Amino acid sequence: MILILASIYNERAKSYVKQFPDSSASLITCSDIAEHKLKIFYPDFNNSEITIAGRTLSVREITGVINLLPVVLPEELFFFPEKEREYQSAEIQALLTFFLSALSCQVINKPSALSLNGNVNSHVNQIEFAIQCKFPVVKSLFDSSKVSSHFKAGIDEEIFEVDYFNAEIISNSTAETDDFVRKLASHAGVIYLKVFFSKMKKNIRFLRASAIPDIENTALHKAICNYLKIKSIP
Amino acid sequence: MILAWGIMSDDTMLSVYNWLKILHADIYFLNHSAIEGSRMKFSSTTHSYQLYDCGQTVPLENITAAYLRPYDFRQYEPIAENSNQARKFTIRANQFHFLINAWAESSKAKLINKPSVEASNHSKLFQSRIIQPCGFAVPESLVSNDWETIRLFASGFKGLIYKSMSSIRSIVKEISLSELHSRADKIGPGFFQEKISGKNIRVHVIGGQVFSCLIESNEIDYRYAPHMISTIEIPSDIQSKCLLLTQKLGLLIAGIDLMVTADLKWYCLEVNPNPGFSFYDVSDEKNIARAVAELLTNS
Repeated sequence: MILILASIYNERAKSYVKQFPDSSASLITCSDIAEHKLKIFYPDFNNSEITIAGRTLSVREITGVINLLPVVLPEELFFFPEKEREYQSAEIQALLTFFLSALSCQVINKPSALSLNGNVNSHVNQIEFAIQCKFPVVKSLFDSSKVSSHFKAGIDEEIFEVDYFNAEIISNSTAETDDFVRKLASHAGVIYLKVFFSKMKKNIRFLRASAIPDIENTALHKAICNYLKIKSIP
Repeated sequence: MILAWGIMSDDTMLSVYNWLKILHADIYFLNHSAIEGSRMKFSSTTHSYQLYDCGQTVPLENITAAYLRPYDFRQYEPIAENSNQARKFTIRANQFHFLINAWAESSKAKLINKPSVEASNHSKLFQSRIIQPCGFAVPESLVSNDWETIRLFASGFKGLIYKSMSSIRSIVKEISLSELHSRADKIGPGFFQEKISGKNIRVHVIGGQVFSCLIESNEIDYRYAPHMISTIEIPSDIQSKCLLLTQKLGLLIAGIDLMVTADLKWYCLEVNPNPGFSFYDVSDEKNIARAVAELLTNS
């Protein structure tokens, strides 16, 4: 069984599950974890079970996870009393960090202690890494006294995305960006990374990176299916 | 220059600060409780961070080491809930934390400790997966919301411990099955561990030094109960395991909670990556604080 871990509010994730054949994938949300029967053991992790859509699932039956949930926010846990939600969100985040790291199957992406989507640096540290790699970056200023960060992008700039998966550039490969994208993914230690660039005429500049799999990217879906050794529905 | 970020009412910070003064270190104390007066900027154009404290520039390029013990700024008074002022304060304080953490991640200074390596403590079970390969026993653990599963798990042990999974502080306690049953429908997934009976030993690893103490108390969570602390010597192989564990976690300092049973089985319960060690530093000289201050000054 492939698990698609997503926010309760992620409507696209619900339809994404249908792209896998023969009910081979299931959506899992914080509601499944918190509200339905759960037994997670350690060190005896292989005897753990979760409940999804009324079905008990042994962790040994999980053959892959596509994680679309970087963090558990209190809003996910609407079924708990409001005063409990913040504490419970930290608890479920702690549980998922462990659960995703303990699974023996492929997890896209494996979690780190900082994020369920892996060790992708903060936006500021991503920019610093790009500068260290001598890759041009979009002019940006972060200021703790301002409510939002400031990016100085021109109106003629085009935003384009490059997707990296399992050591390959799977969409929008360009000679100017591929090497940097590989370096950024390797630095973060993730199997999947989407990198956003700004382009004006021939000038390409780094904008930001995200480790949340882009489920609308058909090339990525195909690559993930190959990786998890399952057929994809065209 | 050494940057110390925290509050002086924290005995751990105060004891390190006092030792830094004795060692004639050049210190900049950034008062966390005055976070409203702190400002941090990062510019991609200059590729530099700027830190301002009460309108004054703090020269980050001169920082050779930093001791970071931030607090939950939401505890500070007077921040009236739901007021516009409180919302602005919260956003700015969050952004300040975000930027100082980003600086700490990329800084070449000696950091006690980098935020990304401290994060292992946000999930006790995640941390257990690093603890066990270092040669310590770990308690049998269960996360469940199912009464029957919890009852069956508990039946295999002499007692059941209930605690938080995350780093949010909770009082660790033994829970009886009858108490648990009465609350069964009111809890989300709870974290339960077999009760280990033995001696509580706290080890602080500071750089390459190991400080150990024995805590005697009649309660499970001795932090909230009468207790007696005395320094002890632990076996050299356990010291080596503590050093290895600290290194595997990527930490420069660590507070390691151990328990040794009557048959000399050594359990590691958890590792605190930013320990409030003043609670355990019973020596008149405050030897743990001194070791931290020396670690910071030897940068």
